[in-house]
Order: sequence, then C-alpha cells, then structure tokens
Amino acid sequence: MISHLAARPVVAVSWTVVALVLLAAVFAPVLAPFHPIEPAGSDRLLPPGAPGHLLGTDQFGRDVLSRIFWGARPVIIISLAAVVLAVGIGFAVGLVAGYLGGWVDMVLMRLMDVVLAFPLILLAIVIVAALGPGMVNVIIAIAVSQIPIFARLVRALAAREARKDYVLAAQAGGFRSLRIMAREIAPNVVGPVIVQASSTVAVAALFSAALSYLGLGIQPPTPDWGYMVKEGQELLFLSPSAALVPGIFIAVFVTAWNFIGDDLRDVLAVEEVR
Amino acid sequence: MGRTLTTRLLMLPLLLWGVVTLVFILLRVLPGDAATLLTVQVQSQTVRDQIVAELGLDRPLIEQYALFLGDMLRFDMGVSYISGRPVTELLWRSVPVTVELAVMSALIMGVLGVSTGMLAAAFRGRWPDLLIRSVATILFSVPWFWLGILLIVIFSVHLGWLPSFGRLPPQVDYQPITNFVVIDAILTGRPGLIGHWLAHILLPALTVGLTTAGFVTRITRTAFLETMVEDYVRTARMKGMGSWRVFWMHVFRNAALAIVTIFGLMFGAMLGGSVIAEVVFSYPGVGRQMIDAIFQRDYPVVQGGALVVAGLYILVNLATDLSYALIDPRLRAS
Repeated sequence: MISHLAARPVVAVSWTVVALVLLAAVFAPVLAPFHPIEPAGSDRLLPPGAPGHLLGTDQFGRDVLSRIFWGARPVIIISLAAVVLAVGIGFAVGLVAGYLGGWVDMVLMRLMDVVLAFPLILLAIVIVAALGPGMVNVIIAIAVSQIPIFARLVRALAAREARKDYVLAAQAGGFRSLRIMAREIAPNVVGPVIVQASSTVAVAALFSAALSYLGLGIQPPTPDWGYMVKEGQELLFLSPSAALVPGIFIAVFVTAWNFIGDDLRDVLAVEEVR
Repeated sequence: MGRTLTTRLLMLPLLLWGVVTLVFILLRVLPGDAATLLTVQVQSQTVRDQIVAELGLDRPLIEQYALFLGDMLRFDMGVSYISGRPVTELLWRSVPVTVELAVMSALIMGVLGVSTGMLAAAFRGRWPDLLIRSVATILFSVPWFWLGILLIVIFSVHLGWLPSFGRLPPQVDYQPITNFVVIDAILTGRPGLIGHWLAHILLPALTVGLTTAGFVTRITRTAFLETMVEDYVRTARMKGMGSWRVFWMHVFRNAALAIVTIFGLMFGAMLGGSVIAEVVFSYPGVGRQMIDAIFQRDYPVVQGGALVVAGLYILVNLATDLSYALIDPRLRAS
C-alpha cells in the first residue's frame, strides 16, 4: 500500500486532498476562524492574503476561508450520498436484469435507456426543479441521473458471470435465484463497480456544484462552493478572486477523485465493459 | 455492438414515448403540485380555476396523461405562463442558438481531443503522453461554469478582447430567418454578422469544448493504442505497406469507430454543458430559457425545453448509429 502510493505521488496527493476536504467538513466549526454566515468585520471584498483573512472576504464582509471550510460539508455529503444511492439501486437493477435476462432484463434496460435519453445534468436540473431545492432533493436528483450507468455496468458483468460454471453449479444445487445473485454473482462484479463509483463521486461533486451555481441546489446563506462562485460572478469586474477561489477548491477535489478512479482502474485491472 | 441498427430504429417510438412519460411524471405527478406551482402568480381564485380547468389539471391523472400524449403527438407544447406565447414558438427561437453552441463546442472538442489523443498514443509512456493525460484529467474535473468565468476574467476583464455575454451585440439589427446566424448572414448577404457571432460564441464554446475534450483525448488514445497492435496492422506492415498508408487505411479507419461512438455520447455532455455555459454567458439558448422558466415557475417552457433537448440527443445518437454503417462495412448488412 505504502510502496504503491510512493511510486505514484499523484495518487498519494489525491488521497490527501480527499482526506483534507473530509477533515475540513468534519472540523469546520473548530477550523473556521470566523462565522461562515455573519460578516467578520466591515471590510468587504478584501483580496486573498489580506491580514487576518487568508482568502479575503466576500461582498458581505464574510471570511472566505471560513466559508470554504463550511462549504466542504455539502460537497462531501452530497457527492458521497448520491453515489451510495446510485450504486445501491443501479447494482440491484443491473444484477436482476443481467442474471434473470428475458423480459425483466428488457423492461429494466429500456427504462434505463429512457433516463439516458436526457443529458444527465439536464435530468438532474429538471428533477430538482420538480422537487424543489435543498440537500436531500439534490442528492436524489444526482443519484437518479447516475443509476443507469451502474445498472448497465452491473448488467453486462452479471450476464457474463451468469454463464460461468460456478453459477451453473449453484443453480444445479437448487439454490434460489436471490441467493445466487447476492452470494455468488455480486462479489464477482464488485471490482469494476468500485472503480466506476470513484469516478462518479467526481461527477456528483461537479453536478452538485453546478446545481448550486444555477441557484437550484444548496440555498443561501448556507456556504456552498458552487453558490460562492455564483455570488462572486456578480462582482467579477471588481474582484475576480471571489468567483475564482471557491471554484479552485471544486476543481481540485474533483481532479483528486478522477486520479483516484484511474488508479483504482489500474490496481483492480478492470477492463472496459461496454 | 449489442443491438443492431434495425432494432434501434424500431425502439425509437418506444423511447420517445418513455421520454414523454418521464417528463410527465417529473413535472406533473411528483409532489410539488403542478396546479399550485403553475398558477402561483395568479392571485384571483376564479382566474386560477380557469387556468386549472384549461390545463385539465382538475381531472384525474390518467386523463391528464392521455391529454398530454395527445398534445405531444400534435407537437402542441402549450403556452408560456409568463409571456403568453406558444412554447413551440419560444423553442423555435432558442433551440437553434443552443444547436449552434453545441456544434461549435463539438468542433473544438473534436479537434483538440482527437489531435491530443493521437499525439499521446504516438508518445506512449513518455512525457508528452503523461502531460497530455494529466491535462485531460484536470480539464474534465474543472466545473464548466468556473472555466467559463475564468475565460471571462482573462479574455473580457483583463485583455478586453472578447465580449462576456450575449449572442450578438445589442446594437446589431438581426432579424432571424432560420435563426442560425451563419445561414441568415449568407441569405441576407451580411457577412459582417458572422464576425460578431464568432466573437460572442467563442468563449462559451471554448468552455464546453475544453471541459469535454479530455474524454475524447482518452478514448482516442486508447483506440489508437489498441488498433496499432491488431494482427491486420502487423500484416499490412509485413506486406511492406508504407507507414502512412497503414495508418490511414487500417489504423485510422478502425480507431475512428470508437471515436464516433464517443462523439454520440459526448453530445449529451455538449448539450448539458451548453445549458450551464448559456447561464454563465447570458447566451439566449434553450438552457438559459429553461433555467429562467424554472425560477418563474413557467412549467410548460421547462417541459418543452426538456423534451426538445432529449429529442435532439436521441436524434444525434441515431445519426451516430447510422454513421457506423458508413465507416464499418461489416455493419451495413444489419
């Protein structure tokens, strides 16, 4: 493990980034030097590096660094929860479709085709538009848009496994389908799903930021990196850093997950499944 | 390949029906009560009742669904609550704008992605390969909207080279005929329009094109690496065929299949990215129209926009499937 990370500094840095964001989210109340919502003083739009305000202040005089610490919470919660939900449902759908085949497979996969007929971010936008803003609805919207990706992946893998000897043996042994799916097939398809899940965390974080940026996600004054970019954009000509700084945090967090996903793909030797 | 072209064509009506039904469920069935949402601005109870009755929102859901399907078959998408204009008319104005943006983005994505992907494959394992792959990963990790703002800061705020919002300068008199600026400029003999249009579309298209190019780089690289080790490539080399001929006749044509596939899929990301870029750059396409409509609770416009964008995406994927047949003679039989 250590030698693997030592040989790949990019991956080590990526895991460190994820750990730091997680720590920032958990310990935001302790780490943040100022209140995330109340103005820290009368100085507005201070540039990064101003005394007492490492990342400056925003147009309401709030300390940007403190809002970045607190803003780590929604991004972590939403991206992880959405992926867990999407994996859970997608895994079940794919497993059933791939193992049972026939009309069950047909119906489930055509259903997934319908979801995939929309550009995924647009689908997420329409779902939050229907459900209303807020963290839970954002999680649902992102999860729904990602379910078909896992369902297709698991279906392809499960269908391949279902023809193998150990499954035929289990069938001959008279085990019920549910048991065969859960005990025999599921453990054998989990590797590629983990890889896909790690890249999907990146996508979910991007979607969450985009929904907030559009004003459909986390609502102000709750600190959120995506919304901070939106607020900053209004003052782009006065102080570009207000919009650019929070975006750098999103980009770094997402890049880290993408590098982690790539590394897992190499380590678990996952071949592309279409 | 999984399914053949014929099955896909046969599935098309089913898929369209599914899309229409999903939009109906999202906007009419889910909690959030369409009747109250749709008429939230309307203060008077009688007017509200009238609207509700007009829309059929007081009828049972199944009857509403039947009415909705009927409307869709007649391409009747209802009337905007804010402007009072038919949704089809509003879409007629905004959809070409988004198509222009998506096509321009696809051009940038394609040129950048395919060229860097080929370069990375040629330098496999050496520093240009590593550099290109790292930049590609970073590019698709950057939030679309943030990259757009960064481009505004650089090219509009600092350098002052390019405009930061809109499709054409407000003082330019543009009467849409087809509403595709390039076509209209040719039709009306005003080549000057194209320059204005290019200046405005460049930053939004770069935003979408750059963030999606990374995927194309990867797919291209893998496709070329996989093709270059195929037996038929080795055979061609052994026959003494020149390396350029081997490349164009054998490697490129086969790798092109994988790249075309990703183009079809990426068009969804293109359209999705356009929605966001349109908001960043106040670009008057269907994405911005939908987001505005969401805030105004103008649900017929949201509904129409979602259906049209999905329809476009389905069409492009169909075109992708058709283009396989052109590239790969083996598939023509099916």
